[in-house]
Amino acid sequence: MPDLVTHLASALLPGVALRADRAVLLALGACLPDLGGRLPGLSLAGLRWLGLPTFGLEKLPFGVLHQPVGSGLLALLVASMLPERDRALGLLLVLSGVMTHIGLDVLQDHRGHGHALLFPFSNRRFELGLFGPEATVPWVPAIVLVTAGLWGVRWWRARRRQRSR
Amino acid sequence: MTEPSRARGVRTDPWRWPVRLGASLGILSLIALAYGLPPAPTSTDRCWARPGSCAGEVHALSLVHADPGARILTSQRFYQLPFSGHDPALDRGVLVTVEGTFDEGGVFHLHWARAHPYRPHKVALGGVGLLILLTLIASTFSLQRTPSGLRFVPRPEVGRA
Repeated sequence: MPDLVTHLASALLPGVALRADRAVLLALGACLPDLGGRLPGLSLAGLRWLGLPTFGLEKLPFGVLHQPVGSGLLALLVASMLPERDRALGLLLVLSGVMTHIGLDVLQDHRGHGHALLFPFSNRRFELGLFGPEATVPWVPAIVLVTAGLWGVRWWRARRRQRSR
Repeated sequence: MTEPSRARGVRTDPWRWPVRLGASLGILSLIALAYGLPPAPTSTDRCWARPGSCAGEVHALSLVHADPGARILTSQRFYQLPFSGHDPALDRGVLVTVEGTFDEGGVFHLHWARAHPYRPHKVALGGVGLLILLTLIASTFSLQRTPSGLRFVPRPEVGRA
């Protein structure tokens, strides 16, 4: 996976055209596959490293939550936490964020060991192999600057509009 | 609608139980289905290593010394094991991410291995990304108790922005 900041930016960049709460839902969706598929395993491994009992839970295949079906189910859980009137759009935004995440991940190269996009219906793995998983790291400062700059301009324009009223 | 809520005129949220329960059961089923599933082998980078020597990420150099006859395909080149040359990158602590399964005889069958420079930055960026996301959520939504449970409600001043 590219780093989480890049995933966040991949949603916040197009999200600059949306209402702030909607952009955040898109961003949440863009991080959701890693939050479900990587964070539990890494956290449990960290606890184990600290000498705390984890009962072998870190070996559970949380990675399935990084795939489309698993992430889609997580998106349903997230959407169920939203008010009813916002739920359909919220689900759509979170799912769109998930798609940006998986879309970015599929571009990477893991020497043919890509993503089981159709799990549990197929174990076949797929990736396009265009760049390495660490390739985005050196670009993060530029990505953050561009994203923050766009959101800064948006915030400045909204403030100016408010003042002129 | 439950009787007490009907009596109070409160409509029960249809997503409260069926959707949450269905999604939670779906997630548990997915994890159960994937449990014990061997990772898919690839044709180009199959090799063997000793059990215990290469679970997760290990230093390439120790793997190289441990596994005669194996080949590791990195993003740049093949390393034929034992690695006889000198690659300064390996000395600097290049990590090899490996995945495989143990057979009944305790031999670890390595399905793929990828050497890559250790980038603690990427792990740190995960933490930074998580902090940014939590800050964004906290500044945009408030957690409110409603008749149908806890809800993340957009803050009114942000929702209109």
